[in-house]
Amino acid sequence: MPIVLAVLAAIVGIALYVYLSILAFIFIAMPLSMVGVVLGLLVGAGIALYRATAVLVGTDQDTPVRTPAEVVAGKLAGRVPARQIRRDFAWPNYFFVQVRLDLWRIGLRSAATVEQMWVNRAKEVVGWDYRVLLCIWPLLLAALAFLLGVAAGNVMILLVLVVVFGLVTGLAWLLGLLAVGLLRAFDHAWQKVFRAHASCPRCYAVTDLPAYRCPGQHPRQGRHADMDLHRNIRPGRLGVLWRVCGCGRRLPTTVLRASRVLSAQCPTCGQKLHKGAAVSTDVRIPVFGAASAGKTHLIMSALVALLRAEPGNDTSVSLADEHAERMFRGYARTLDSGGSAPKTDASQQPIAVTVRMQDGRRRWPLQRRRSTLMHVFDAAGEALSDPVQNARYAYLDNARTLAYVLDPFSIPGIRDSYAANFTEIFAAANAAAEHPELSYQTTAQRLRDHGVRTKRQRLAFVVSKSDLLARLPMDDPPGTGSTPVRSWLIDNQLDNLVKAAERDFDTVAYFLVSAMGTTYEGGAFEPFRWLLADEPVRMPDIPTPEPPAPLAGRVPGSRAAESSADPAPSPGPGRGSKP
Amino acid sequence: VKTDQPPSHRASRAVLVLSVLALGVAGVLLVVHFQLIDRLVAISEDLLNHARRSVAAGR
Repeated sequence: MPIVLAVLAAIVGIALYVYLSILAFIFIAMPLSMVGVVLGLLVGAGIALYRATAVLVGTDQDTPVRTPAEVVAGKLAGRVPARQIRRDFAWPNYFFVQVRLDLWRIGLRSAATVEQMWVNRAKEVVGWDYRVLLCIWPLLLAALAFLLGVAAGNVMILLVLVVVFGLVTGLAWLLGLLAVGLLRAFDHAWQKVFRAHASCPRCYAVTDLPAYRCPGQHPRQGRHADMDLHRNIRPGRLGVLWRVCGCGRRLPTTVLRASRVLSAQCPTCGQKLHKGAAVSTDVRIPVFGAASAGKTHLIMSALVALLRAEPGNDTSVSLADEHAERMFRGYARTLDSGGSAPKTDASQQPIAVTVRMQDGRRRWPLQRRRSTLMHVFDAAGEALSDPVQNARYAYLDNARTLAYVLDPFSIPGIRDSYAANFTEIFAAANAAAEHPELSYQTTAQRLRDHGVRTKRQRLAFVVSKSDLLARLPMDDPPGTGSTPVRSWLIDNQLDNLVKAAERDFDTVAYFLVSAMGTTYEGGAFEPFRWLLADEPVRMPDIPTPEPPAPLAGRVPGSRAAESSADPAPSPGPGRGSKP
Repeated sequence: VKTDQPPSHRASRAVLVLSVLALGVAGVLLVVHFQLIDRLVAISEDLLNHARRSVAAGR
């Protein structure tokens, strides 16, 4: 009987508990849960917004940041061209990588907070007595609803943030890509139209993209590691209109703008490049020929004449660097004293002598003044004849224009006819020993071996030492102008050489030059004037020399007429030409 | 506050904050806008009913 009564009491008790529980569920748990969910949603949203604010305002000190050092270490997506070696030491664009890190940080911090709330509540409840749990479960249900609300609110706001961040980032990418494309295209178009390149006077590398050194504060070890050197200043991942160097200095991104304020360097050898490199029209003129053909004299006389002339227009001419100034002083001293140029050292790599021609016109305010850098390369004839040495003369590969200097006293016919009777003149001429054809072919073959398309190049064919040639009593002296000089060469059994030059090169013009003068009247500048005529260069307005009288009949010993170069030699039959 | 990052990062983050705020304000305005429309519709219906009743009463 007591057992029955006990069972009955238990059943009644359970029934009463269930009845009360149902009432508690309906009248306590449900309303409280509804309130809990709403509160939870608000709290969850608040947590996400708080975390987002902390990360975006910068009070969250542990937000991962993609630093310039990490960029250098290769922690930035995308391929790095081999010539760039590594990415530059600069801050990456925020919308390229940092926005993703920030969003990830917001998500992680929010999730961690919500997770902590769940874990803490669970730990508390697990420690409770089961009788307490049986009594207050409706309240626990409300707490559970609150926590679910927190999680849901958190996720909702995170999703909203993902959408907003995604839209803003997408818009930034769209505008950024458009701006990058336009800026790069403008840079490229400028370089294409004005034939602007940066050429290194020492290692002969030619590039459209010099390296630029940041003028900001860099530690010494950073400078030693070239951390201040920006090898790819173009717009891109590290900035669209500007980039911020790792030192904090703001740098312009395009070559056109960077060239105004930054110092350019050769990306291959680190040699400092000329101001305006890769923005100025770049003309490289290698001068080749046999040893003692008169190459250095031609360059000396042409440059001294160019620098000393007073242009009739507002184009100014100046020496572009210290080496050029030093060389020019030597040239001027030699020519003024009437001496001869010292023999070019065959063991030294030739360094370009660079002249800047600056157009003074400015058609509208802020217009960039156009300038031209003319690099003249003079290598020793012996070095040019040596295939091992001339293989290192990469400037020959990158030139659109070349000048070949022929010593008329090295022509076998002239030598055979006059050398015996005019030893004094031949001694003064210091005639080249090498046959003209051999000296030409050595360089032409070198160009072919290195895959140079000579058919795209122009050649100024210069016959030098005309002042001494005038002293020979020739029956058929060379006339003035390109065509007569060409005919004279053919008449002197150099038809193979003429044919080879005209076959190899796109355009050939012939000049007869004396390189003893120091003014434009000497005519030594005329081959260079002709070579520059095909370039987008505004030439200084220097008068062309008066055509001298025919050579024949001159008084032997006179050096008054220093040149018989055609003032404006028309390429004439030389153009692409067949004789 | 982190100060070592470039100003462009701060500016970009400010753009994001403003975008989120703008979205929130737009959401609130949208809700207010729809509630206002609902209210105006209710007032219009009240006036219409009042007019109908007046017509029916011959006044």
